[in-house]
Amino acid sequence: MAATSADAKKVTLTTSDNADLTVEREVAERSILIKNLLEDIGDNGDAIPIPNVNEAVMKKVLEWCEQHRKDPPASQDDDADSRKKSTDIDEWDQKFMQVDQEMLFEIILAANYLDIKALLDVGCKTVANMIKGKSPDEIRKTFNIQNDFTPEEEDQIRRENEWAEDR
Amino acid sequence: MLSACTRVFHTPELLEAVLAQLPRKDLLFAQRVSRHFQSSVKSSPSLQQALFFRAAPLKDPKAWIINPFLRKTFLPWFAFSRTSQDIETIELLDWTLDDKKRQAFLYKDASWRKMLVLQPPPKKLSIVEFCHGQCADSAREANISFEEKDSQSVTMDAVYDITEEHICGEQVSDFGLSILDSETGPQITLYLRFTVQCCVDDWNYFPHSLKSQSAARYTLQSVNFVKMKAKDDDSWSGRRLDMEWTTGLTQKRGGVDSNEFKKWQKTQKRQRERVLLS
Repeated sequence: MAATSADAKKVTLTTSDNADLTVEREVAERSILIKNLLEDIGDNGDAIPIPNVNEAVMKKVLEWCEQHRKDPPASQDDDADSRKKSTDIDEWDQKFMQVDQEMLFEIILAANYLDIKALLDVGCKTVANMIKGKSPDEIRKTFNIQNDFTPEEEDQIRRENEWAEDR
Repeated sequence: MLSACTRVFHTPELLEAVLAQLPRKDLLFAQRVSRHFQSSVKSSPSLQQALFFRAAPLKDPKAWIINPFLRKTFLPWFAFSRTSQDIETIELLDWTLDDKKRQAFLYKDASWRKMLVLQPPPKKLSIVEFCHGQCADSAREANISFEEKDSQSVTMDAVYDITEEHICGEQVSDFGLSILDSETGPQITLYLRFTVQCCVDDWNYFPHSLKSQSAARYTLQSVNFVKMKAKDDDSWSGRRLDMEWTTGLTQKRGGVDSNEFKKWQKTQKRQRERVLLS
């Protein structure tokens, strides 16, 4: 195939709110979902419907894909100890993730749906950083999570791990 | 429509992916947030492995690490230089002076009890007890198998309970933990030593008990000790034994070297003096 012309090829994505976004194929293919779709249906120039992602979120996701278009494909790193590196998010990604909380979680949902592992990781790391060092109550407040334990249950869990608490 | 945040936290694989990015300690405490958080941590094999509640698969028999939660709390057990780990060492543990901490530590369901000592973990704990007698030394050994237990691997409860009983039961005693490499993964042995005392006073070192409140506590009595025999002789009688042991624990694997151990002793002593003075 003619690599140079294929690289510059554009695809159109139709978001859940019926907006058409046209991007270079290489950028869109950061999404494994879109990549597989394009391979399956062949690139016939039709717009690809992305029914689970709205325009605002899709634009944000594509901004990330554009920045990371040349990244090597994600390595299969299923080692549990990759957790140690949790805090390091590269500078551009950190800035990129400075969005309101709703958008942050929308990006995570979209990255999961579109199958963009590296973006999903950055999203999860960002949320993990918001959890880190907070008490359970502060975590609940931050994310508006309801405490659905009975006082007895919560006390039981608290006591199980109280030995590991710092004063 | 539910908020994106709620949708993420209610999607099990996404909540797990977020929790997987947390440092271990935050992960341990995150279980208190909600039932969703708790069940995500409890039901995820990789999160359970990260918290040392579940055995990680053995890939390379020499690639093992000490549980960092336990290292901090039970530091003397992980000292690999042969400084004396005796009753005075136990007295220096963080939680022994402060009643609130002591209660938290000895609480029957305290989660450290179910934690694996190292990862990937061995399936049995060997115990060797040396007795320095007046006329002769003797030694006995035992193995506790964990294959029938929930953890299927060596957990800290056995190591602590048995050390505690040994140390608090004998006036002149010490202990050490040895971890050695083998082709099937790390082997763990708890060494206990004591010297027989001819005149025994009412031996009560601590004003408070250091025994865990758990009903499933390990005791020396429940351990099936077998007298160790010399290879070239049927008995140890009249002999003096070499009561030393070796360990494969190194700093890189999470062990505590003599410098760190001495520093820890100093800090803990100073902290105690401050408490006593105030």
